[in-house]
Amino acid sequence: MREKEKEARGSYVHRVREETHRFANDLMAENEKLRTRVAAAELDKVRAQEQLLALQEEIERDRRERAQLQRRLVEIEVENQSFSERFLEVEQNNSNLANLYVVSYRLHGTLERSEVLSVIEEIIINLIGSEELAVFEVDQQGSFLELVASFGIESEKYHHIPLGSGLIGRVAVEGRPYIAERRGYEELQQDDDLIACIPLKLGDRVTGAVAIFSLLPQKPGLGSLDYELFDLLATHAAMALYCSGIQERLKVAGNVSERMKLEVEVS
Amino acid sequence: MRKKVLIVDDAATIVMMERMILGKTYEVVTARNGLEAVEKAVAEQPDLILLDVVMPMLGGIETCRQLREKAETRGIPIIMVSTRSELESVEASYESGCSDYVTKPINGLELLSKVKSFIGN
Repeated sequence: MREKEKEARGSYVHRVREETHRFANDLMAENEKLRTRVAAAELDKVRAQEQLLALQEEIERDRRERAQLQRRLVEIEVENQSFSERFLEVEQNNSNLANLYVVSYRLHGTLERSEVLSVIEEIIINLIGSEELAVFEVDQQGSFLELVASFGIESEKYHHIPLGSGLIGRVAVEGRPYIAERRGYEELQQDDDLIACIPLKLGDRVTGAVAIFSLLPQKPGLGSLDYELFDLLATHAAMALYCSGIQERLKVAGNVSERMKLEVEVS
Repeated sequence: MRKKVLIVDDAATIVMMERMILGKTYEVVTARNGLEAVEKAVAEQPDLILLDVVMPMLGGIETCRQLREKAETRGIPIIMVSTRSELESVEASYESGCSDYVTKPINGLELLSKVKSFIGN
């Protein structure tokens, strides 16, 4: 009986030992697996951290690049704005030059005196913007300004102006323009009706004057283009009037000579 | 094909100046008075008309009315050009059927931009 009990206990101990041993082996195997997994996870973590760092660097680089692009965009916009302004300026210059070219071309495009005078009127009305104007020429004796064309004024008042008399007469003597905005000729009583008076000159000799008495209501004042036009008128209108005057005299002389020839033939 | 602009003005100086401003971008045809303008508008079928208000024979306002009455020219944009800036003159022009109104002295840039706004480049 004791033997059997002893045997049974021995077998039980043996079984427990074996199971413990197996359990310990299983635990160790499991442990090994976990260790491998932990190692793999750690490796993954390191890789993930490296990737994270790389991504952060990339983001930082992109951010810098973006900031740089934004700065460049602002620069380009400023540049673009400046080009647009420059373009407008050039277009304005072109337009101004076109005006000056047209004025010069039109003044020298004819030898007909009446046409030259109407071109001067057209220029003042349409390009300078005045509908009250007068064109004078110095008479042959050199003592008066004679009104040769006018628009929108009482012409009787300005028919003959003695040289040196009033602003217009003084401009013809002095040979320098009067511009109301810029004043000048302070010693004389200012004529509130006169916006500008431009001497017509051939070299240094004054041959006439152009007087402008008002500007169109929509025109706030004279600008740089107007001053250029005044300069151009001063010389080119004088030359055109002078040439057309010679042409007219030649025509008259031609007619007289023809008439004389005819009279000789008839007699 | 370039768009076509009909310039109508009795002042040759203005015609020449407008031609210089618009000629780079558009084909330009011209007329010296209202009667010629109506004939040219029918024959040339311009894309836009620049019409002076004060002209001999047939003034700008009457010309504009006639152009609006004709089926062939009814749809053409008309920009009136005038030295007159008074309200009555502007109103009379719009009543005659013009599309826009520009006062003299003409600013080249302003004119070009107005024309562009109607017919493009």
